[in-house]
Amino acid sequence: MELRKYLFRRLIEITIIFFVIMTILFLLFRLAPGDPVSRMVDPSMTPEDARHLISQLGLDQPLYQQYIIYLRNFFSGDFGVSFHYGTSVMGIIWDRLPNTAILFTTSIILSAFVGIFLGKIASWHKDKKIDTWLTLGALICHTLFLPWLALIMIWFFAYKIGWFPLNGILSPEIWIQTDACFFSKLIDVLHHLILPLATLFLIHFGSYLLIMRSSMLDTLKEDYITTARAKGLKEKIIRNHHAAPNAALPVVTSIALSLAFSINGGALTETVFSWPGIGRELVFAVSNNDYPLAQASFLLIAAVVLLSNFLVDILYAYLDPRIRY
Amino acid sequence: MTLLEVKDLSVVYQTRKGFITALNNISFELNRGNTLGLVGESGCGKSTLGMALMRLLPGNASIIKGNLFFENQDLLKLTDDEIRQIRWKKISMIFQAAMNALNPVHRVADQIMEAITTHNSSLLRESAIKQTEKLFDLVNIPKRRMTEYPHQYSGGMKQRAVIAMALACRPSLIIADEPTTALDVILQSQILESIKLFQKKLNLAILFISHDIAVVADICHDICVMYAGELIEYGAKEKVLGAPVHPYTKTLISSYLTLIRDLRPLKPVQDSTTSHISNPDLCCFLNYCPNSEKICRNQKPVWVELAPDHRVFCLLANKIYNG
Repeated sequence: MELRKYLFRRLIEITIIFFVIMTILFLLFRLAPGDPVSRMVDPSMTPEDARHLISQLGLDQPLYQQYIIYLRNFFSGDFGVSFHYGTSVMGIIWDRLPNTAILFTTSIILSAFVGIFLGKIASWHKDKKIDTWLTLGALICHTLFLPWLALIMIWFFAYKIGWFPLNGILSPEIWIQTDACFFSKLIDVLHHLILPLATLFLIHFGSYLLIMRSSMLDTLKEDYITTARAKGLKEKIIRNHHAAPNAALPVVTSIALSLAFSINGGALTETVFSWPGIGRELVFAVSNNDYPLAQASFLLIAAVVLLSNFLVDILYAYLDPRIRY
Repeated sequence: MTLLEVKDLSVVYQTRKGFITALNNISFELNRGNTLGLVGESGCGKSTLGMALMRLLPGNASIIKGNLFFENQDLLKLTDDEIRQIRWKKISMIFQAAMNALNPVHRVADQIMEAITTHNSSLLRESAIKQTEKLFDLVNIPKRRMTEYPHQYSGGMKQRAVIAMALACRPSLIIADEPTTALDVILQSQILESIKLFQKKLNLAILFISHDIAVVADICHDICVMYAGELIEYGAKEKVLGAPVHPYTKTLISSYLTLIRDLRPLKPVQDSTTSHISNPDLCCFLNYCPNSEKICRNQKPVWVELAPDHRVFCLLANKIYNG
């Protein structure tokens, strides 16, 4: 019951924060240098046509009115029309979102599980060879510069060996085949997915491993681990049942925090791999002053970060019985 | 009947500054159903001894010498798997910090049940639950609190839960490492009473580790006094506390208040927990001893048996004893 009350309160908080972000975004775009109209407006246009276009976009209205329109459109689910594509922003986002989701959920889940597992192993064999190698490997991966790693991966695996496609999400020959079956499409997407996934995985698993390792080492010094040993429990049970659940708590926090950064890193990865996702669209929209699209993508990112924090709150209450809100 | 016999046990810790002797030639015996008190100031090696008996010493400690006979088998010669079978089933522990002895993410009853099922894998879940219920009854914790987590318990309840856990497999020896140190005096006396009760009921042997002479005097039959990793006086409670002979034991006793004796100024023990690496052969209390004589500086101390149940590790024991 307490939990439900807390979650309700959190939801209200999140909504408020979301509106604050919305407002800041709105103002930021109006303050940003560069004028969308000057880009769209052809120099050969007559001033009348230009004015007509500006009023069509609603940019001649006073700021507060633009804001009201912005809010009203948001509630009716209308994010406007992309300046660049000329189609509905919602359509573009719905089109790109699954691509980003596939890449991100998989890479976060994969790197978290592998990181936690290897961190557990490393701490258990502290100062032995396996620990040294795992820690060293994790440190190296953690400090790598993402675009560089992505380029190296492409150069080696796609160009030199040719195991994987250079970029994109679907091969053109399958793309133009309208009668291609779902299964062959899926295989092709997975084939394209491996390189960007591996890149994101390599960048992220290291930090999870290091956090898990140090957290585990602290936990292993706790008195209840001595109790567990004294009880005559098997080492494997002590490690997995008594130490790991306690040690994994800080990692959960770190996963939530890294979500925000991973979307940011995702923009880089998506750009390098030409992965048609939200991140790449965002970079593209910002550099082209495509306000509606950029605004909507930023809002989406804000929503994802807020929601993942909310999910972690729930998860935390489930993992640690001491946490009762 | 002897349950536990410790013989010439020596433990060293490896540190960056070299080896540090934590226990030096410790020998004592403990009979079934008896309580042996182990007293000494902080850092004298009491807890190390308790951990050594379970073979739970940390990685940088090693037992370099001695035997631990328990029910006629040498614990030091057992394989890891064999010692695991003995832990908790035969020898269990009551830990000093009950707050931290329970795992915060598991229910209290589950942690107790785990001890039961680990050593009796054929036991059905229902009967394990029944046994756990009985244990909760025994230590006076309401059954409805079985499914709660450690943080929902008060300090005294946690301590009682830890005691219930120690009794879970009906061990023949319990090592109680300062079980009442963190509690206030009222709880302390309750816990001590219940420990005494279980001991009689279940014919337990207890190795009671404490720095509190008053507590040890209350609960123990025999007493070992330790100083700087060495055993210096060992015997029946009445002898060691009633007529202490070793100068350190005397100092330790005179540093405690008692309501029986006339009030007189306390004599604090000097800040003396120094290691005696400089001269390991001589008496460990030499530098602080008020009675020391020339012989102490030239000769190793020896065990002097003043009575069948009273031994002192001091060259001057007879002299002090006879006044």
